[in-house]
Amino acid sequence: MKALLLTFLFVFNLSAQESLTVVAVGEAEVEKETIEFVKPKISFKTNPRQASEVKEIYSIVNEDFAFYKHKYSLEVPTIGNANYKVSIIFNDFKNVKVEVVNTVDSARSSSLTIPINSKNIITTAHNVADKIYESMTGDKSIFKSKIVFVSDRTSNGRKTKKELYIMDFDGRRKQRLTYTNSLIISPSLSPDNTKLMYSAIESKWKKSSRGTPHKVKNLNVYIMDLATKKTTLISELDGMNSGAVFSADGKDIYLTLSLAKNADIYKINLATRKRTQITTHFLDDVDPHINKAGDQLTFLSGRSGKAMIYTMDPRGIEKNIKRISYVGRFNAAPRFSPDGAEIVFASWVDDLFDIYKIDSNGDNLVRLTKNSGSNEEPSFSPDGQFIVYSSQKVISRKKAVQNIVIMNREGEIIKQITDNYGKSYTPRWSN
Amino acid sequence: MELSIKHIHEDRFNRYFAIAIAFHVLLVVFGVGITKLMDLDIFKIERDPKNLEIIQSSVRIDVVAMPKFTVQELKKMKVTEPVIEEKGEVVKEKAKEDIIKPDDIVIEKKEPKVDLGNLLSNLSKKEKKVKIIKGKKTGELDSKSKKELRNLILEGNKVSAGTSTVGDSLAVEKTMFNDYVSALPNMVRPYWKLPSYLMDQGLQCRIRVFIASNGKILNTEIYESSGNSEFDKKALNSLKQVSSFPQPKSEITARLASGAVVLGFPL
Repeated sequence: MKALLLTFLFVFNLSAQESLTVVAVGEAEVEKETIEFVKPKISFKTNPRQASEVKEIYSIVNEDFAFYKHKYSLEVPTIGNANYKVSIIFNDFKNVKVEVVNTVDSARSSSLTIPINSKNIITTAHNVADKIYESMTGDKSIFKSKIVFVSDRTSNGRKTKKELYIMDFDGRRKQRLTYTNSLIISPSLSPDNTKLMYSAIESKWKKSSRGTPHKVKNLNVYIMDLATKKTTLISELDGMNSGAVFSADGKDIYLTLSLAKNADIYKINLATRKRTQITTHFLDDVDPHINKAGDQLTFLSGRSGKAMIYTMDPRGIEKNIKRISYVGRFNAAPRFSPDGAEIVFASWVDDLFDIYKIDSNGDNLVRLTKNSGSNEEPSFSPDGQFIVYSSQKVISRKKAVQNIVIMNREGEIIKQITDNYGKSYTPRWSN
Repeated sequence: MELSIKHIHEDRFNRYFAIAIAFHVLLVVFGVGITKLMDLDIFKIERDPKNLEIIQSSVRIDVVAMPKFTVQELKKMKVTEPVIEEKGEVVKEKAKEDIIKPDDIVIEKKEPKVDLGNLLSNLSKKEKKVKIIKGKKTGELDSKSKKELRNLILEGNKVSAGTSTVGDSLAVEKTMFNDYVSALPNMVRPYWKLPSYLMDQGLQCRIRVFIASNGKILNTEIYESSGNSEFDKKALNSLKQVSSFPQPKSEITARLASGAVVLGFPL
């Protein structure tokens, strides 16, 4: 009886105690910081060429930072100081000195020295911008990254040709990579950005059932070494060899092969050329993309009757298959964000493609593009803050343009980086 | 013989019956005692020494079609139509008054920089802007789609959201309190902003809020610091900018004024 009484007393005591309720406010929104780029200071005698190059460096740094407009405003505030005051100083033409003054927290100010590559002023400018960004955030910027894409600009009236090109992230310095005279699709860069994989449509001689040879078209996979431009044939099995992507360690590739009548996803080890089938469904599975951790693969499958996005564990066969998209008439080209948390893809809506984003577990489906033509083939930037895609706009009944555009991860359009450079397709951002 | 046997039987029956009853009573007493102890003492203390109760919106997602609106469009709507989800009538009225304040501030913020030449035209532009927003509100959308829209903005693309009430009490006061409290984050969120370098560091701070009977914030104190003074400052600042919450119902004013609410930034 005594124990019972004591218990009741204790309970009463507890409930009489003050109770607090915690309510979660949720994640904060980004508050833009302001950067003031002070006009460059030159303290040596320049020749006219150097003077113009100093100007160029300054303007490229400004243009680079304009990409991060969701984080930084480059407008100098009328009242008070900017959060950062950046002075670019040229004491000679060997090095650029940069003073980054944090006006809020002086402990986070820094001074930097970046060597000038006199043969390549654009590289120097991107390096300067990258170092400034790194000193402010501690993170890598996109300023040194590249974008690989396909363009049909070498086509002549009769024959459509699609070749590979590479350019800076901002569209500067476009450079042709292939001279195949054929159609190239689905480029993919290796994790260390030294190799480029793609599929090319080629004709090959094949004996028919009667024994007479005839030409057939085949889609084959090649890997190009970007330093030497040497290409190696990887897969030329009958039918489709396409949509190849590198694994996270670059040792394997994942691709679509149509060996068993329908398309399935396979893994090929680059050293041993050993082939493993990853999906076995009797309906088509195409367009694989693997996350950096290497434990999740996203792909497109028709197994539900419509082209939908799925994820799976690529370390097994048909392992942990999960359907991610449940809506949309036709979904295409899923790509992971660098942290693997999100997937971007294109979906067919109102007779056009538009770009959508979804969490890798299927939550939080959001739309990113609208009313800007047909937008497809999205690819994340290496820092995960931007998405590059190709945007087709119909100008007249016979003419359409297709350009490459960069938006940030919230769908705010930053810049169109190709203009009338043929029709430009499948942009792929370097890692 | 017969009698004595009967007697013995009866005697035994009574004794065992008494023992059984005593045993059951003891069992119940112990059972109740132990569960009370476990439930209220040991378990609670293990979970939260200060008797904290965490309210979070429970979310159900029903995706029926590809989203029509882009993230950018939803963001713009958020600016023109701040969101308060309320059930109490009094609260609702007050909340509407509050909506206008953040609205004005945001529009002012979006004004172009001071430019003497454009000052007049800017003023007229501002008026136009407001009109356009109003037009959007009344025209185009019927009330049903407006409501849907509101929900969309509320929780991103989450279609329906409810509040999970913690505990088993059915007291009206408690649900009233939870309703009021779970509406607070939506009012703070428009002002809860961080510079990018403070964002992905996994910082968290909790602020205790004392709310007056008219909804005004009486006092705020840091209940759990993030360890980063700038982060704490930004969180406190967001509350300063809210300055006032909807007027609570009289049943819960005492609890609110005693600082029973702790806001978690972000959790």
